Amino acid sequence: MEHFFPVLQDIFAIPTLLSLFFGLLIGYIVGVLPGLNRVAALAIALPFTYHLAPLAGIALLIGVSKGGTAGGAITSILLNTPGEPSSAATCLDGYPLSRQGKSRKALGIALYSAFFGDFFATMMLILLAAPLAKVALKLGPLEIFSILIFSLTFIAALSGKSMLKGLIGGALGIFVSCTGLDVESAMPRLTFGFMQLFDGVPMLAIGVGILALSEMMIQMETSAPLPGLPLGTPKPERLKEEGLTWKELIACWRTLFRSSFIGTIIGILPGLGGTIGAFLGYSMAKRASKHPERYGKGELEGVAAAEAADNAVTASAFIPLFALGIPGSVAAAMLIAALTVHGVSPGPLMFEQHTALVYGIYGIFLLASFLMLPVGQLGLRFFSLLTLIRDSILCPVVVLLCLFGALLEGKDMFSVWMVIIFGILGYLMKKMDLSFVTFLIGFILGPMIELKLRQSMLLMQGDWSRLTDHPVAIAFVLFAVVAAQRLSKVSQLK
Amino acid sequence: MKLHDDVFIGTLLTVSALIVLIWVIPTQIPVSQDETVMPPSLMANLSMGIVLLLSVILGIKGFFRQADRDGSLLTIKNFKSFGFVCLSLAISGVLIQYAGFFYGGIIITGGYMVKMGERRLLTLLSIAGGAAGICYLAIRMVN
Repeated sequence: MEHFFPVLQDIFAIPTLLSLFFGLLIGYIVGVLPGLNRVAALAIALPFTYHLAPLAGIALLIGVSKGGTAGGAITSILLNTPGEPSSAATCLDGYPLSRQGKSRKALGIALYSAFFGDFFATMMLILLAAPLAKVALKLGPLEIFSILIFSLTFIAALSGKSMLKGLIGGALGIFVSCTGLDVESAMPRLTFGFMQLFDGVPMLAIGVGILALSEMMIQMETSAPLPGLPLGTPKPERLKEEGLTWKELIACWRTLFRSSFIGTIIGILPGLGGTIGAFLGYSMAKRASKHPERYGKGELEGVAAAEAADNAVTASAFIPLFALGIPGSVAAAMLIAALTVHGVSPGPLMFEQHTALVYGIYGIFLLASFLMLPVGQLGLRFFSLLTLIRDSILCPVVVLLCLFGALLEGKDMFSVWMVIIFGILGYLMKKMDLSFVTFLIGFILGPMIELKLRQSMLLMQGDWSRLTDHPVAIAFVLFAVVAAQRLSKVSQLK
Repeated sequence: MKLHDDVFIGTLLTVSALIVLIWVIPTQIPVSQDETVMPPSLMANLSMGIVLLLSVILGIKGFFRQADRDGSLLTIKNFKSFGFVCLSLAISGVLIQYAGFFYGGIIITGGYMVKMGERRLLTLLSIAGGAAGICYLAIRMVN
């Protein structure tokens, strides 16, 4: 309670509110633009957070993440083109509704379902993260090491087309994280004589280079000039049609609860992501419906199911980050980078060391859920017009923003060159289907994995029979092996 | 016989991992004289060893798989694209370094816009100039 009023002051400070508002706005815009994804937007937003107060910086990232997920539904409904991959399930009923002249109803249910799913998962985050963190504090280095390995394997098995490539990406990420001064001996490692690398490879270079710059290079190869909006695209005046009624919204309550719950569970498990959550929520809603034949032909509950689950995944992916320090998604990984810059190490200790900040982040999460409604409602007409922006304008400007972000953060050309190098590396990785998600998460978890491995080795003192004293560690290593074997099939489903 | 892309990817990664293990790590990570601390190269060797092992498995598995129907990775078009990415990004870096962010930014944005098919002069000038100008002003304000 002692933190309550100071935290409220921080949350409702003008810079924090503005950051959150602009984050949501940028997220919505990015979600609407099929050529740009939420992950790239998060990477580009990252350097700006370095110049903001911790809570304001985090508010910007949370806004982009939540707005991006919710905004992805707009093009799914209006153009049958998912703005985000995870919005693909929304197309199934959203676009048929739009073709029937019910695009306002579809956009309305998508917005309210996004709010509901997000709010539900945020409440779960608030209720579950702290108790889980207390359990995590009781774990020894060997247990934490095995949980980290389990998480990385889990993510590798699900994040790409091939589990082997996912694991290679993770191992490469850990290798790159070795750059900088050794924690024990203080000897420089893999610095190639560059003083700038003594603190390690900057997270920004990897984030912007691999996530944003390489994506734009691939977009430039694949995109064709847009001749205009596709056939059947509703003009803005068509959005004057009848909107969603309260009765229709309330009729979806079962679906909203079910999908939000499914999305929350999927989000807690690292690596599964919104696409699986949205499709699972959709298929469960169809299975539970009295009229499954209506699904795929323009059923409001179909849109509600997909959107609630997708948005619940985004928020609940932060639960393992807060409780264990393990990023469950790329958005959570970006939040780690922002927190680290401000001297905060995400994980169970955060609840003791930075209590006020944790409550502040919770507040921002809740505020973002509620702000989504007016931003989504007011910007509906404006956002649908954004689809007219050509890739030939969008991609070059984003490339410039990537280089700008590097210069802004590093203040010298070294950062720019690092972003370029990792942009080329990211391009190669994407061409070879090597998972950049596991690379990023391997890079972030690398220092913790190394520390826990060293501590575990000291603890064992070369006597492997001591492993029997750590059944939790053995269980997680076994889970990792089982996950590696079984879950690669789920990645094909993705 | 057409080989699966994974054979090439596995081979490339295996060779890269060997170079890193044999040459990069020994030259870039000094050996600690203090025997009470863990070797600084422990994690680097371990992670690269895993990359080596998995790459070999990837290559071998790929050898027994049918070639990808979507087409091979090793095409002239892909090499050209990769060359374009490397060259254009390198030129972007050089331009920012020597021409400054504002002028370099205009050339970079305009160049990519032309590459993507934009030919309207007013759009080119306004977008490239506007984007580079706003970024430049932001850099000046922050620094």
